[in-house]
Amino acid sequence: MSTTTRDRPPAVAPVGAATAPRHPPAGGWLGGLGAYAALFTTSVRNQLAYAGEWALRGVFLAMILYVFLQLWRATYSGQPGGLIGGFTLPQMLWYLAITESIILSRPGLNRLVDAEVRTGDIAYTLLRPYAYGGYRLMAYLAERLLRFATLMSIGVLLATLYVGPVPLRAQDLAGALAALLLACLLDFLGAFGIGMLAFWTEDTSSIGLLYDRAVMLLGGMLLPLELFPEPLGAIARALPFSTLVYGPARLALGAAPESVALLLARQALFIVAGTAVVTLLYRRAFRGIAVNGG
Amino acid sequence: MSLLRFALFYLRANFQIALEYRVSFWAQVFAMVVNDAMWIFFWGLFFQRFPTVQGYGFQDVVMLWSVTALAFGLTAGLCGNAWRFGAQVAQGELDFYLALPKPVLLHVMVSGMTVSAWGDVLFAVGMFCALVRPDPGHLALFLLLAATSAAIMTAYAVAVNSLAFWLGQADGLAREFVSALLIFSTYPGVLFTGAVKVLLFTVIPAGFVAYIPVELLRRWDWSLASLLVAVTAATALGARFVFNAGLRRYESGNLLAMRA
Repeated sequence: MSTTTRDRPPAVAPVGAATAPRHPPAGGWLGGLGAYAALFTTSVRNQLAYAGEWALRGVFLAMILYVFLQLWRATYSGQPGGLIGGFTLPQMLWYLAITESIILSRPGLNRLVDAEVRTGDIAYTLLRPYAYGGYRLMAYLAERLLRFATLMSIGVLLATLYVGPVPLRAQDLAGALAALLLACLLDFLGAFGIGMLAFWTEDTSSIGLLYDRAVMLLGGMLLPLELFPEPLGAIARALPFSTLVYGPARLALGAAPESVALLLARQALFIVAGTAVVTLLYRRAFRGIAVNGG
Repeated sequence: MSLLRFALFYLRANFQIALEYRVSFWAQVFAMVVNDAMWIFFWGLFFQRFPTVQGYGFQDVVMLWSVTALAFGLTAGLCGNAWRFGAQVAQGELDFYLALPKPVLLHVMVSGMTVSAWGDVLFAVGMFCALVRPDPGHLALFLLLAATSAAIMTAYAVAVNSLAFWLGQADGLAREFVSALLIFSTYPGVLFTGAVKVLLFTVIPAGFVAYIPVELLRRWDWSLASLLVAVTAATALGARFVFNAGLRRYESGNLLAMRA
């Protein structure tokens, strides 16, 4: 049971036969950098056309934050001292507002790539002056950043309304934003890589669903990792999922200065490893694409 | 009887279509089982740290999840299109159903199946048996209550998707209503009070889908059970009324389509 509806992926195989480039577009899966600023701007404009959908997501966020508020209010009422895992109730709700905004701002990239592979639409990018991976990255960033900005604004309003403000420092927020940007890149690699698996597997939606849930639960969306029992907490902290959600949210609410550098370094490491894997997938996939005129 | 045969025929056809992609079918079912299990895992972590929340313990949440997941699995598996026909209404794609001599609503509902929903069914029954360890009577009661929840959920899905008859593109709104029902049905009802509680027994019927069935599983109460049966019947009739009222406003998209 999931709160997002997933349709069956199209079943048409994309790979034709015969002629066409037998190599990835020039410049690897990201291609050159020239056209991407324009792609980003266009994607931002496209996203601005979906204000209604954003409003609905805001309603969803309000609902889920209300549920969390009730859950944690009841939980805190039974806790002497008013602290759980080092969080006060307002801090807990702000943490959840940030993590929910991060999660809800994630575009359904793997489904999109899967569909483009199965329908063969991916082949059209071979004719264009940019690489498919770079194009998808720009669209992803435009959608993600706009969505996050909107949802976070709503989240801040709701959290203030529900529990009042919490002390925030500019340097923590700056660190959190930097970490969030790297988290977006890392999440892009994960989702894009899963979508690319459509070249070889019958179904990627189930892999995508498991990835989404891992990001939510092991990423600390519902429960800060401080509340995980050991050794599960240590395992969750070591996995890349925690750097996508928990890391940026924890930084925003204040963390030791060395945590910022450590988190950014870990994210950079995961991005390098992720890029290597996705590049390998991309090269192999594009080697198999063939386009027949028309 | 002929309508039951008709629905069963569609169920078989939907399975045959889904099983054309056998790996995909089982992957989706398996992924949904793991997805549900991860939520229970979260609740396990939560209740390990905080054993009860306003009288609700881990086993109560397991029952809540079992009832909701089984109800959702049954309705999305058997009547999958009830959850998404709003888009068809908006695009004028209901002509196919109107031209055939079968009840339109039933036909619309059974003409689609959400494959992953069978993962919910497997998970719910498996988890209820494994963690609640019911005796046969308790298990039968669980199945019966899940069936009433499924009926209410289906009626709710029909009603919110029928909004498309009046609003046009209402599939986004319908999705949010459905999400609201699923979210509130999977958190303990004792958390909510006042106007929200009223809302949860009216506009978003999580109270009848999950809270009352769990209450009945914990402690049988004839008056509560009677209320549940009455509400189930009223919701089903209400949804049919809304759908039929909406159908009178339906405008064809004059689309040419082939259904193989």
